[in-house]
Amino acid sequence: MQTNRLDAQRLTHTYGEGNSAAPALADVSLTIGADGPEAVAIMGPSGSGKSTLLHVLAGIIAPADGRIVWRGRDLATMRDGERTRLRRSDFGFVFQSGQLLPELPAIENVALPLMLGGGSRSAAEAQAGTLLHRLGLGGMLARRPGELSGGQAQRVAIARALVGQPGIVFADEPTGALDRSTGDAVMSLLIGATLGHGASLVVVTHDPEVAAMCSRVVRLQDGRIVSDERAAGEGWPQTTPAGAERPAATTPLGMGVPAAQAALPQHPSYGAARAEQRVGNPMTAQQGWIEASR
Amino acid sequence: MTALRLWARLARATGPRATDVLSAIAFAFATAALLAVLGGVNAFRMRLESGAVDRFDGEFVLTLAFVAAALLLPAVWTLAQAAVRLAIARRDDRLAALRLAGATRGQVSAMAVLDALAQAVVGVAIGALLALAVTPLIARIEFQGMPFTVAELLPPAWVWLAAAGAVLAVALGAALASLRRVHVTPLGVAQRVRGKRLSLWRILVFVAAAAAYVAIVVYDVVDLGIAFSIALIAVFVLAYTFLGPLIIQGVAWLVAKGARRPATLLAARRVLDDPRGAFNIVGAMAIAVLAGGFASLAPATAGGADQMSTDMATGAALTIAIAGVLGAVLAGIAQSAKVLDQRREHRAMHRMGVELPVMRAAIVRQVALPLLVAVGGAAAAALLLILPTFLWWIQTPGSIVMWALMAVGAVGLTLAATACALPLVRRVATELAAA
Repeated sequence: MQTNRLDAQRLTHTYGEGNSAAPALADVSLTIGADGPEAVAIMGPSGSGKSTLLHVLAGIIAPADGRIVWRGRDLATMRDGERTRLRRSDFGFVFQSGQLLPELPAIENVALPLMLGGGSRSAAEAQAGTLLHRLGLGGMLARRPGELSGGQAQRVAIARALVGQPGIVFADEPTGALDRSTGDAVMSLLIGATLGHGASLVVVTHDPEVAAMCSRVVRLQDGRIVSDERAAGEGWPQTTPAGAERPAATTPLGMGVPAAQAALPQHPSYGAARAEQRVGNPMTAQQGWIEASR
Repeated sequence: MTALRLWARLARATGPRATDVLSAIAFAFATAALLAVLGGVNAFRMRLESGAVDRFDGEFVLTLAFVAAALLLPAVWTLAQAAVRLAIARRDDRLAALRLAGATRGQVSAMAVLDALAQAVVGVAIGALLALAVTPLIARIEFQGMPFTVAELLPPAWVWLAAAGAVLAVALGAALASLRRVHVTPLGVAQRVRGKRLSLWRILVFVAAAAAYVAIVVYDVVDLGIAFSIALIAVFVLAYTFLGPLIIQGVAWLVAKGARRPATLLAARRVLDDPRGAFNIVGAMAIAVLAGGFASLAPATAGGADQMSTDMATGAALTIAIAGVLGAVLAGIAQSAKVLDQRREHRAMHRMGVELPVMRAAIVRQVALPLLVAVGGAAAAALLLILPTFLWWIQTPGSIVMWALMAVGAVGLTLAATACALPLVRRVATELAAA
């Protein structure tokens, strides 16, 4: 069993050198998934360092100083190639736009991470097809990103992020290019599917409504954490001892995991409850949205 | 503020970049190749006018020189197009920002055209110097029983000016065509959708040309003379340019269906996305190899002792060499432009854990696939059509062997030039937007 806990300690990062050096992160410490899967929103004004924090936590860039421990290994001391392999095997990514490969149809976009991991193409496409069907994109397997709507493209991106059964999914403004209702639906799906899978979600956003759908909100200002709020007592699981470890029997999406299905409806957070007023809670909204899209 | 003043101010502020240098190099090679070919045409014209060669032979060789020059023009055009793409690469964000700031579409288009023209002017100047530098080397080549002189290879000033004007006109035309395809809106450029599949009528054109060639040239069903036969070969070669993109599309589809490795899948899908563009990069070399196959047959048919046939074989080798150099430069430049065009995709791939060697392998296979299909297909077509004369060229195989070596060398050079684009992959994949 591997724990999906990410420990970041005293992270510092600076862009530029000498007089032009601009501090992006200053002594940031943060733990993700300590008590089981959680949805963490990172907020802050432009230039506060939120995207830099996401890039450092995900191993996309190495911090100037500090440690990021994931499954017993420090990402900060890993070589670039090692971090690249780790991102592929352990993390999933959803970004605002442009993250799907425009030449590949949806099914190949989703199958690609599995093929990169050494999986056979037929098995990878079978798994990708199952996942896309579950996300309501069964009729769009052969469509390319340019032939999909913004919401559909983000659902493909979510499928690609989850197909490798990651421990954490990182999302950078995943609804930034979508209208409000589509954005809410995508966000509900992202949270429901990621947590249902037993993974944590770290989402960078400037949108308070997106943050309100998460179980925890971390605010940054000038590269420092100024607040770290949890949706205490109102729903999102504060401690999930069993969930702190990766569920043994997850489906690719985790939709069939009884614990995950049971946990979310029983623990609607204030954020999820608010989201439910618009589109339902992350899990039920996901099902409803998929049904509606058929 | 006029577009010219705005462009000048921004050019001073940003200074030259790697893409500008690559673009100028592309224009320089296009200009140098054009001037070298025109120099050859001029030399044959001067010999003919001075009476240094037999009139009939001189006119025939001059015709062949024009044909060779015509074969290379598509490569020059494609190279200039790639140069323009480089010239306006990475400017879409800046152009979109200018639209947001209130610049009209006309002003933005004018600035993009000025970018392309500025690099074309620099490239033309460098290309002219390059052409002058290689002229003494070309003068060592022997045609019509004697080496060229430098004076023969230097066309009149008006030809130089016309060539420079032609390259600048190509730059202008390609820039306007590029801008028409990419409408720069204040919010950026439109997303791409699936390209139109090529029609099967291309096969009919090729089969008709091949049938006419076999009936008239090989089996001599109708005796229409050597000039008509050469014209028919030219038609056959042109028909191959219609068929080439379709073959590439078909092979890329098969490769994409059967690909087991991510790099192969990516490369095949990218080629399938734009088979015409893929053929444009390798087309000139394929045509040169095809035409060279026919020309290399000449010494064999003449028993190896005929001056004209020797000249034809030399001309074919020279055409393949120039097409090979142009193709190599084109592949390097075009792939560099593509890497820069696809910087968002490369960045996304890097983030999701695609290793750099996979991205690099995809870039190389993206060139290797159409290259091997088009050039291999051209060589196969040439061999097939000269097969009835097998007994001739097996007795004097020198020119055929030279042709094959030139073709293999051109392919190798192109693949080596593609490697020039590979360092860019790391740069674009690992660059991050400021947080």
